[in-house]
Amino acid sequence: MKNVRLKYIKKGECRYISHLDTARAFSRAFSRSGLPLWFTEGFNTHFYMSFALALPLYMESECELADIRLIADDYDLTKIAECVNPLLPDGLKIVEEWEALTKFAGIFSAEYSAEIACEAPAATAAALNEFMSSDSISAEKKSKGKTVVQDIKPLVLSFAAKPDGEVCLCEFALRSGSESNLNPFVLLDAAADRCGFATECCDIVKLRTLGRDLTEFR
Amino acid sequence: MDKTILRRVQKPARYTGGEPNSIVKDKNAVALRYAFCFPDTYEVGMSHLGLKLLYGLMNEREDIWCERCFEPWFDMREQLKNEKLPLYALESGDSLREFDILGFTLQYELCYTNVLDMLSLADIPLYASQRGEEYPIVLGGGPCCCNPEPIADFFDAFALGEGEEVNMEICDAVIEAKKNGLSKQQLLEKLAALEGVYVPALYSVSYHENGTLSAVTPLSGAPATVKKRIISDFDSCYFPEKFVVPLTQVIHDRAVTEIMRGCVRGCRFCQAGFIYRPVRYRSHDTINRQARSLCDSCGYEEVSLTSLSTSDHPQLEPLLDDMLDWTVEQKVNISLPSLRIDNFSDELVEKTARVRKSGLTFAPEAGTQRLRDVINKNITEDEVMRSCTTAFSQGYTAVKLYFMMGLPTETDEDVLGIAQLAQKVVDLYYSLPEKPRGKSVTVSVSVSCFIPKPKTPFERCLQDTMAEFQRKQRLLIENCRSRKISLSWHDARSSFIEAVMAKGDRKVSAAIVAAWKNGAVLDGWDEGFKLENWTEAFDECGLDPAFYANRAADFDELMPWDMLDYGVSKKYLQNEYRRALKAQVTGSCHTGCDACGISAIAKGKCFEERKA
Repeated sequence: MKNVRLKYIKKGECRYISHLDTARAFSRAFSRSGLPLWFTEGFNTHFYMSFALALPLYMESECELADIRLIADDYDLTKIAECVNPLLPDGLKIVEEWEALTKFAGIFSAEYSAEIACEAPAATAAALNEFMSSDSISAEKKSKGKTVVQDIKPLVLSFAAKPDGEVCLCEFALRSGSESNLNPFVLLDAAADRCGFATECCDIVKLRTLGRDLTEFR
Repeated sequence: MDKTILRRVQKPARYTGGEPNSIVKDKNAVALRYAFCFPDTYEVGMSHLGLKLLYGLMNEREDIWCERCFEPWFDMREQLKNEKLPLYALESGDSLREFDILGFTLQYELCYTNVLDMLSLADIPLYASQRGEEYPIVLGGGPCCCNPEPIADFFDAFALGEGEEVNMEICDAVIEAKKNGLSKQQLLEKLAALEGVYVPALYSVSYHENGTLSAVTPLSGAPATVKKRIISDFDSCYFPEKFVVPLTQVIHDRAVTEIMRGCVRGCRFCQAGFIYRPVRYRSHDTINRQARSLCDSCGYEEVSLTSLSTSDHPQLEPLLDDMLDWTVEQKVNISLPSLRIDNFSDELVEKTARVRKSGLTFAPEAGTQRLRDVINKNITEDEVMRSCTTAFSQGYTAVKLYFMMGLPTETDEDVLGIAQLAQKVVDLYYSLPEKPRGKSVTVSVSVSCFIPKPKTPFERCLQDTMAEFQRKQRLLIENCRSRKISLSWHDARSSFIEAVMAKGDRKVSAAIVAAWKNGAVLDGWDEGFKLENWTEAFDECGLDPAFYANRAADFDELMPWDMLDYGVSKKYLQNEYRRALKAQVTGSCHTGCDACGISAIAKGKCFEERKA
């Protein structure tokens, strides 16, 4: 039996599919793939796929991670993408696979790039850089039905914005993972009014998932 | 399409298209663009087998491109209107305005305002008379076509009966008309010449002083009666190998096979049982093959064997045996909806529960034997108890029972009979030594409001008033005390509107427009339905809705649907009604032919003939 880690991308129209629906799409595709998959045991057996993180709706990603289990020890892992990708919707594709030797708890941060359509890209970029350099950033967080105000500045590891033609381009890294996680939309929501843009005009792509040593998490 | 609006609405994946197995063609390379319009939300529409069937069938033709369109939810409607974006089909993103045919499936009457809404959202005039050659042909199909008069003014044509063949004939007629530059009037006349197509504009209607129909007169060579279409060779008719697989959760997301059409039982309230005659079965090899092909191509975890009365299929057991050969291994659950209480066996339960247990539902429909005989639901209390015993001893701890109230000749005693029957099922559970240990039972009782429907023996009956329904519902609640009984019922107010639409004539169309203008849309949903939208609309139009819903009519009164021939004769319906009043049952077609009349329209291929 082998634990296999899959890196998949979620781009284009697939950004409108929720995480649960994504899991369902994988489940369907895998069940038709003919791969030697391990199913959970017990009364209600189902296909086993464990996701590192739930990607928020509307975000694209080039580095999502999920584990599956194969019951054959020496299966050629490159065959997985070959079998499964044609069965997935356009925009959802497995791009790499390797034997999983670490746990998802080791995920520390993620790098993102965002494109913000706004009226005054230069002004917005300047305002954003200033906003992100302040000592604290308060954001509302809804938890268990109550809304709490949190300082999310410690979760922002880096941020840089610059104008690019008609949009404002941002590159940033945020804490990510089960220990401590900041959703980029929450960060941009906090800045939106002050910096002259609407969150719904932000297209965000998650580029890399990093471990504690700030190299790509494997 | 401006994607920003997708960020402002719930479940945006409903509006993006791009699902696996959806078909994208070059719009400039096809002769006909067809938009299959399902007048309800994506979740409801994508669960509908008819859409998948006609979508697959039409797209097999290289010269036709069929796309899908659904009624948007409230938030998306607002966005489309505010941003001045037209309602679009999912595959191309093009406005409905650009299509040659808009094919609406009319599954139930409360979707009528959604039809108007979809037309309006694409800037298409609501009335057929206001649309010239530059607008799409608006076509209707589905069960409501047995009385389409309330919406006749909005449609160019209706396809009666089964759509597989007639829909293609309509497509070909429109392609020809485009090629030869025919006027709309000429096209309508060509359509009316097709068997099974009802073109409302070619019929004029007149009324007596008292509001009842006096005549329906055909014009321009249209036939006096329109006969529904039937697919005679059901076993070999088209069935898709793939379904479009939704990206988001829908109501029924599973493989579906149609194992038979029509029904032999003749329950007197049931429109489907009458309008889909004659009964035709698919062979179990065909069904098994189709089910397997769907699961292989789409990865479904459940396959549903659908029909009006699944346990009446003569080869059901061998079919299940064949299917279990592969479903257990592939972890596909078999779902058997629409089971009859009187032929529900141990073996059947055991086979369907192999992979996963689904719920069990039975439909006694009435609480007393007398009333069950009136409605010809040939089920005895013993059979109910026996089936529940089977279910409970196989480990089921929940059963659902469907009933109706407001049935013809119903008394309070019959209503109380529902509570008593439910209690008996609860008591049965606790009396069984083989019941699941340590678990309690839940008997869910769902009671809907009877709506008299055209083409049934009860078509001329009246519906109980809303006040009467509410009184009976209270009576039931007071008498269903056990915590093990979970009672739910249907809103009498929306059932009232459904009755008006079901039995209405062309005068009702003005009220539908008025109700829609008042804000009536998505009336099938609690979030949408508001009785005031409708009562105000009827007032504005000077119509009394009770004239349609709460008035009994003689069999010699001309009804708006009499010129549409679904095969079962009026004489037979009238006779069945008379028998109902005397609580006399009529056996199923299995026990002997009662000459309902369908064999004439089915060209002799009826149950009786096949038996011989």
